[in-house]
Amino acid sequence: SENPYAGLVSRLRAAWLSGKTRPVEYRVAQLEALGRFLDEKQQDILEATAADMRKPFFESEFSEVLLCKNELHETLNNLSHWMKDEHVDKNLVTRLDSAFIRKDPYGVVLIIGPWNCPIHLLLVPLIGAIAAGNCVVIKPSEITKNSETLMAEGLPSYLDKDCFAVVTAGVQETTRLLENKFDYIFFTGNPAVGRIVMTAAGKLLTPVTLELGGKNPCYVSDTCDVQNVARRVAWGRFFNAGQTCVAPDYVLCSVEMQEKLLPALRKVITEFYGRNPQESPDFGRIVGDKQFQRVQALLRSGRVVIGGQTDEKERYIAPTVLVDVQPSDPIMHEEVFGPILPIIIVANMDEAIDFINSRERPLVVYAFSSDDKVVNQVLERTSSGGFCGNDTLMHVTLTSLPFGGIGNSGVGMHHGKFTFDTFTHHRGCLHRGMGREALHALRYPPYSQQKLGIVRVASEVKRKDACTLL
Amino acid sequence: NPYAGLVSHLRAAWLSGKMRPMEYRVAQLEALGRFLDEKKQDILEATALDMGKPSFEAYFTEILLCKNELNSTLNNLCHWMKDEHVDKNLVTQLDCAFIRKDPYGVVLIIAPWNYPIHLFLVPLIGAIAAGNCVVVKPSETTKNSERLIAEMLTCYLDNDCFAVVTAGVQETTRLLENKFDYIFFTGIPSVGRIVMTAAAKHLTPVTLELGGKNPCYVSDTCDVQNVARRVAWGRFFNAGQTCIAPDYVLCTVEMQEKLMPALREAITEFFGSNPRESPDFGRIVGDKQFRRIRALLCSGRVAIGGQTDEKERYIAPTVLADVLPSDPAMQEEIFGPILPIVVVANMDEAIDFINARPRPLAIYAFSCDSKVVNQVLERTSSGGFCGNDTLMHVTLTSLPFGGIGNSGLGKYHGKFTFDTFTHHRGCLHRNMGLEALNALRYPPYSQQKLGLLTATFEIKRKGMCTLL
Repeated sequence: SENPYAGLVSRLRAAWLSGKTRPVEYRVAQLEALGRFLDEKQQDILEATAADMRKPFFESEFSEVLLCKNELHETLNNLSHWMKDEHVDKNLVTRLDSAFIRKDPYGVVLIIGPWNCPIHLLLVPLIGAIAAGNCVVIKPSEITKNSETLMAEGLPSYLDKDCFAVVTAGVQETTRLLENKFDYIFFTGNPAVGRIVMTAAGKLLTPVTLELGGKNPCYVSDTCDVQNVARRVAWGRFFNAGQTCVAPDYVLCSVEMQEKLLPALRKVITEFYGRNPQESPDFGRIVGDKQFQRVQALLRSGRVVIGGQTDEKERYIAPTVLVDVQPSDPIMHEEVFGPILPIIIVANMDEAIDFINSRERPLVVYAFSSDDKVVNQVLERTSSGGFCGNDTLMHVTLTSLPFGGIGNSGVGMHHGKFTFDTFTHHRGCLHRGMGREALHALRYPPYSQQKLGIVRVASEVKRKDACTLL
Repeated sequence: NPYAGLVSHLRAAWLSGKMRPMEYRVAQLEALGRFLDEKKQDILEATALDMGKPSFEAYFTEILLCKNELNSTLNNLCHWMKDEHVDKNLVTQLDCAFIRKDPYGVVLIIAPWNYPIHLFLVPLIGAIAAGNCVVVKPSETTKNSERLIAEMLTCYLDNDCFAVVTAGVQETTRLLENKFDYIFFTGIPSVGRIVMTAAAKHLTPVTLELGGKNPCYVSDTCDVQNVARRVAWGRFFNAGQTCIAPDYVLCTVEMQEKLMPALREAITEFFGSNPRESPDFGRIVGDKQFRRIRALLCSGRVAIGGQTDEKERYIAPTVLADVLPSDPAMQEEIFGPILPIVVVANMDEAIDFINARPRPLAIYAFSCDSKVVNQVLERTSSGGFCGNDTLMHVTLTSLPFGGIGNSGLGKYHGKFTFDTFTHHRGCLHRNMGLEALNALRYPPYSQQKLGLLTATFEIKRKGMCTLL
């Protein structure tokens, strides 16, 4: 039977071939429209995410609105510069030619968003896709129904319907959507679905970016300001009730540090949410019943020392810290993605590094130490999508840093100019003169040693003196 | 899995951190340089045996261009490896924010047969420069080159970190069942699909350098003899077995009339009146490929050449006139010394013709009028582009080389190869103290805190700028 989305995709492809999205003025207009969506629908965004997962207004305004506007402004401020042909170094042979990198759009791209930060994680890739001149099919998560409806109804009122479309789809329909040929697919979600998306893309030779997840380790050395560490780790863990792909997933520290960290964490949680976090307006809820049950089951790991209370009706799980956690415990077998922080004891930094390196490479590695050398060692001897020393989450708020995974945590990177580059085909171009044929004569047959000698001299790149790594 | 031991041996070497220091990478790259110098004669002989490659062509593509990539890399490696410090906002002003260049780990390079040294060596240079361990799988089609690579490379490179695997289709399938941290494949689109599907199971990033039918538009306003020479050179180099060769010409019937005698003259200039006797014209790599290409001759009408000799796998430099889109030569990448000419009414029709087909690795446009060249560039999409010449855009290490759509994904050459095999790790190193700076973000939340937080985080829209 005919694919239900074939018509939509060919309509968008025709719009792309018309060249409508190429001029900078068109792209700027669409991006400014997105800006108006963020401004005019700000209250709707806060209310939708609150309805979907009781996201506190502060958190949604910061992550779903402010960070998106930053990406938007960064893009608008630099777009004409990013779009320009980049002229490149030439050699002797091409000295008189024009050699440059042309920034071409891919064409019709697909962006699949997840539910945990439903506006941001769709809009930030969308900004780059539009900036790069593509037509876009947007597939918001079907799990956060209020946000999905807001985008499905709101975005088409702001964006050009010829070139941009929102598709609401569950698993079955998304599978059918993926049978169509897209020119780029940007997916945010879990690794299992990432494999499915990349396999579908592989059949059609479609390039992909996959922003996945993993268990982000958080090493806390013995030399640190315990109260500060507790505050920064708790903030990263409990923001959005733990449903953040870059949240610290588990702590690695010595038994002495654990003894100091626990009262500090207890104090911080009370500072943040009061004595009964269930009554705090600043603490979120788990997005759905299925996810609630999954996270709740992880509580049977080690021993609960802080929190542990749950309320199924509200999908509330208290900010929780677990100790005496073993690598074999349930909580160490999957990404937690909830407000539970397990602590694993290691003897020292070397053991922590070995622990990290014997597992799948995460989206981020965190290391806390007053000693810079310790932070640098952890950075140097591990591999992860990103890294932050002495804090959590913050590295993804800088638009100048690339954000992306490695291994199981993902493929590709974005944010700032990296999003524009993700959705841009960098086309190597050389424009030569029609005349000056004498310059070409050396390369033509009949071949001779003499010709070869001159060709070599004209085109060779010589080795310069050795330089030292500063 | 027959390769599991090899892959874990290389992975252990990578985890040991052996290839992280620049000195180690430079030593391996310099060893590759010695391979190219000391084995130069062996390389020329192997490619001559494999496909009758003229030594001029082999020297230029398999040695000189590789040495250029090597020297470009050695000249710049310490700069490329450095942490790249990035712009910070108000909140992170006192922090260290940079991009760390990390290797992926254990990478796989699968090379094709048409430029058997160059097309594994150039990716290998970037993979080593980026600090990876590498498994190299040369093509089993060019047996002499395969043997040379398998026997010689292990003498020059550190066997802890680099390995050559000789494998046919079955064994390569088993090789691909292992987890690699990056796969770089050069070959045909159908195998590219297989590679990417295998990579997807392990979420392995890939670069696929594939192929397609590279159109060559010749406008009515051009120097016909120059065009003929440049197009013939691109088409008949390596007996047509070049992924970026001009695959077919699009021009008006008037231009076809002018081009034909000019092409005839260029071919005679290049190869003499009997190209079969020229030492400067190659042969088809194998019997299967020879028969495939020969079958394409039943397209349009043979205007120049058309002779073949199965024993030598010789196909004469051939030009076909009046070729129709439905002809055999227009159904697949030719990858042989046959140049079909398809007649179009004008540039618009040529552009529509190109855009109705899968996006190619290169588009060529010939015109004295720069506006025409720019129009073709602007209104089409392809891996790369060259105006008024063929092949040359890939000899500049400063230009990215790669496909789009069916012609591939990813890019390399020069720094782009280093970047391909590098994981760009976003890093922020903050202070253990200065906690007051963080206070605004913590619960309990308030409108006042949010207002102040916004002021410290926000990026404002600047005044409009105009596209120069």
